[in-house]
Amino acid sequence: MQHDGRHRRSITATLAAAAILVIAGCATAPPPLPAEPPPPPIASTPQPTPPPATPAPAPRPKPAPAPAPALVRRDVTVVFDADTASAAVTAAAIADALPPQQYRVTRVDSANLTPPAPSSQPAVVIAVGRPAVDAARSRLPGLPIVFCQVFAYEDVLKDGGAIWGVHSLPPLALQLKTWQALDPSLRGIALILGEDRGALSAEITKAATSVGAEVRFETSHSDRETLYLFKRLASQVGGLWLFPDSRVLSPTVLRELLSYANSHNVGVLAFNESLLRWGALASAVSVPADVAETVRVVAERVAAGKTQDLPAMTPLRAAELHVNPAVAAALGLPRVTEQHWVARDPD
Amino acid sequence: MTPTDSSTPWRSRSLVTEVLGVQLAVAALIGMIALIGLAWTSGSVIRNNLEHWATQWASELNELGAPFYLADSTESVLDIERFVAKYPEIERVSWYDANGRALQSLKESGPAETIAEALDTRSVAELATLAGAPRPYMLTQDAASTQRYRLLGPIWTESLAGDGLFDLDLKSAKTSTHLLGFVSVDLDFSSYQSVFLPRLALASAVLLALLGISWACGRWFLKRALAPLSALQNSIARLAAGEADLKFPDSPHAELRAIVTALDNTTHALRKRESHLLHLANHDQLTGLHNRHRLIDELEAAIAASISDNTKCALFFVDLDQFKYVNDTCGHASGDHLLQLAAQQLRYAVRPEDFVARFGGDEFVVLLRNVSRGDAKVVAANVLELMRGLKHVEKEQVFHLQCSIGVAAFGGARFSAQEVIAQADMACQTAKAHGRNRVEFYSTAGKQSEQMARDIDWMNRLRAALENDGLELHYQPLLHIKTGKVQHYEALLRLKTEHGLVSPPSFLPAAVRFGLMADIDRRVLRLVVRALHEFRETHPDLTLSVNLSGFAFEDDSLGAYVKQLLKEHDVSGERLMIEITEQLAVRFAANTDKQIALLRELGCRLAVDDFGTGYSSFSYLKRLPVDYLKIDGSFIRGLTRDKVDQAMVRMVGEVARAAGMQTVAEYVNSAATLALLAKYGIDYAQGFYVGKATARPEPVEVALPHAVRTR
Repeated sequence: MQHDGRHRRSITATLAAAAILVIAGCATAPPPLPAEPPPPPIASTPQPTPPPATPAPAPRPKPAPAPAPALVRRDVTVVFDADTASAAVTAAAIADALPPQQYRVTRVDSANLTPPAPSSQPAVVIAVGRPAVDAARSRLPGLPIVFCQVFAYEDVLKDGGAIWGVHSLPPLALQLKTWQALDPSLRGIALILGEDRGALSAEITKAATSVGAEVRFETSHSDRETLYLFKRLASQVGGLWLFPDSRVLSPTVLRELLSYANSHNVGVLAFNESLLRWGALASAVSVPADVAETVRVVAERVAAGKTQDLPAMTPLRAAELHVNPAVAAALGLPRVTEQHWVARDPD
Repeated sequence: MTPTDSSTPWRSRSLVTEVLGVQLAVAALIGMIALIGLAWTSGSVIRNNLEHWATQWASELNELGAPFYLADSTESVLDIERFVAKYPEIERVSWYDANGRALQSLKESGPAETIAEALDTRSVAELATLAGAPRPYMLTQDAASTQRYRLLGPIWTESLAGDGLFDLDLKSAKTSTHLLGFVSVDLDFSSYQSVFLPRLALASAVLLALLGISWACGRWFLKRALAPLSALQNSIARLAAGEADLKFPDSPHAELRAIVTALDNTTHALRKRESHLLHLANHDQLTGLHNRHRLIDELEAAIAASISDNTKCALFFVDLDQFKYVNDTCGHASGDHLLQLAAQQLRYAVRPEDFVARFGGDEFVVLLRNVSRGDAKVVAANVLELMRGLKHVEKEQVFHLQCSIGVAAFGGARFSAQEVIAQADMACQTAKAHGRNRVEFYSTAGKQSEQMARDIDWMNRLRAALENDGLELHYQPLLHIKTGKVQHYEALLRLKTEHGLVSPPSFLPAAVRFGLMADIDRRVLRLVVRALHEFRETHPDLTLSVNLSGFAFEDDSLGAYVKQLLKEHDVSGERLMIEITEQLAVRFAANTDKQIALLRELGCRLAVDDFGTGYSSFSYLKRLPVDYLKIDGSFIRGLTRDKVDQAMVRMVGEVARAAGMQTVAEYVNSAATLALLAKYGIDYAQGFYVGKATARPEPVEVALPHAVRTR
């Protein structure tokens, strides 16, 4: 309730100031920026917890309407793990994506994150990566969080709270379509995930259905089992779709998986470009700018309090793709003209 | 055992067998090494393969084991069973939890009847550290069987750290390891052994067969190659048996040709050497005539032939009358020359088939076969005539040579060679007694016959004495004049007869005549050395001197014989003094010289006996290799009365001292003589005044004259 009162006082003061500025501006200065609509009240209680196990496939939220000229910039704290290069890059991209006229962005290493003073609490916290999420939750309790670059988002969401996420994976259907374009004969796709990936599995199933791909799911409990399961599936599928489930993957198993896949003519779509040189056919990773833009949109809505129809997880729209032409040739795929491009979801 | 002894083991060995034996042994050794190497290599290969497989199996079982632990999947158990069935070496696979408790055991046919025992704590701890290691297993060999192993390894999982794997780098990615349990694999490689052993046996059999074939082929080839060598075997055996007149078969092989050539050269050299030795053994080196040894053989053969053929023969004993004079006057070189001339004349005077020998010194023997007494007389006269014509010119002085000839005619009678020689010698003595330069025939009647009978009697006594220890020594002391001590004795020979002991003058002529001197000399040497041994306790400084005849030095083995005696009785050679005659000392023949040199090497000392009766020149003293001079008794007996003798003895003493020799005076029978000897510096005195010969070396008490004591 104190928060509401503070907001009210602030709006009144803002409106008064704006009237004065308009009068003054008409005579001596450029027209002032339109006044930013007052931010939605931030719930003092946690938001309704999205279904942890099987969240509904998140429709892409409509881009927020162009903000009105802000009279008061909102504080946004971008938390990231400075030891993770990709997190730093993404955090920088997010900071760039947030208009400085509207947001006062503070980037903080998750290791150095400390609770802010009550007078300077950010409107929204953007957490890049799982360590940042955990740090934000523990050190900035009660603040709305928008996270990205978290694969195991179900683990994050199941704890509830005012938290929304942006997918770490590029659009799944877009990945499948690109793969099918590379390998027109691709039919069966093996997919091995660890336990408790029901929501992701559902998204994958939906994406596969949308593009007419056949996906064979297996649940693994360890890296060795992943390898074991793949060896059993290898003769029945044409591709292996690798997801970055660190619980069931190890460097040894990844190398063996890729080696086995190569020796059995199974193309592998990997989650990381570095796996191409170990034998993956292609890799699809998120585009930092796309991640940043999506985060900006979600963060604005969260900051604006327009979270009623905001899905728990917002998908990305673009994918950066790399192809290993040698593997493609070994698999007998049509000649690859481009080895690196960015694909965008037309939706 | 001699080389020709047929029982000698090495004679039955065959070169072919030995070479093949060596070949077979080497081949067998190589074969054994190969088989052992094969067995070792096989074991090593199995072990190495096992190491390799172990890594693979550990990886596969880890992969297969993870679902078994985590998913409780029956499918995974089936996979493991398939895995077990794939490798026949795997006897059983057992799974354990992280605490080492056994969970399940699988055999090739399915789950095992019994679960394996739990792992001990130590193994669990050790295995736990292997999770994630490059070689994540332990391999142990069964203590009871070298073919059984146990592979133990951890089952673990790994996971990547972090979420999303956005900055994944497989080379440096951090992982965390989670131990699930353990797996053990019991391995049995006996099936390999069951396959390997029959093949090893087959390889051994093939090797044996090859060795057998190699043996047979090698034998055939070797025999063929050695056939020429075998052909030499008979000839070499004959050569080894002493036969030198051999012809060795030629060989087409270069190596064998070289051997045949060498053998031919050897036999040629042997023949030459044998001929030379035979010539040396049968001939006198100075004159080239036959020697006494050959004479005995020829004479015995002639006696036997005369008996069997009933023929007559004659033996001349020729003694040069003037030889001693020439020798003493002109020296031994002139004497030798004269002997050579005489030998030529004798050879010229008789028929080619007659036998001429030098008997010793200036004595020659001529054997005429198939001659009558009259013919022998003619030949003897012819010899006398030829000898009379022989002249020797020395320093413008002409010496006419004459000789005395004793003839023993024999035929049909059973005389020994020695008896015939003795007869001729006796006849020669008669010729010399009758005025020399004449011929005398041995007469079976009269004095010669009596003398011959006596000589034969002495000869028989001497032979019996030699056989029955009938000779003994008596010891006459030699007084050291300056000190009055007696440590030196002369050993004098005595012949034991039923009438008592007999001195050498009685029997030595017969001994010489019948060729017994060499045996007597040897016996005397043995007696003397034995006496030195026996008396060494009572007379530790005893020195014994003994007379040896010239015959002793004609024996090549004299030095070796003395050496053996000294060694046998453990006696030092310095205790033995050997006396030789002046004539022998001066006229050392080459052989005599060697024997004397050897005696001196043994430490024996030498003395010249009867010095002064032979050469008048003192210059000989400078080169005489002797230590003592024994002045002849003829100078000592009248020493106190004869000024010449005194001068002679004094001079000999002075010269001997200058030459580093010591002097001995014999026949010292009075104190006055002893006093004079002391005055002249003579070192030793021997004679009745000093002491008579006794059966043992007795201590003597000599009353030294005042002059001697005060010197």
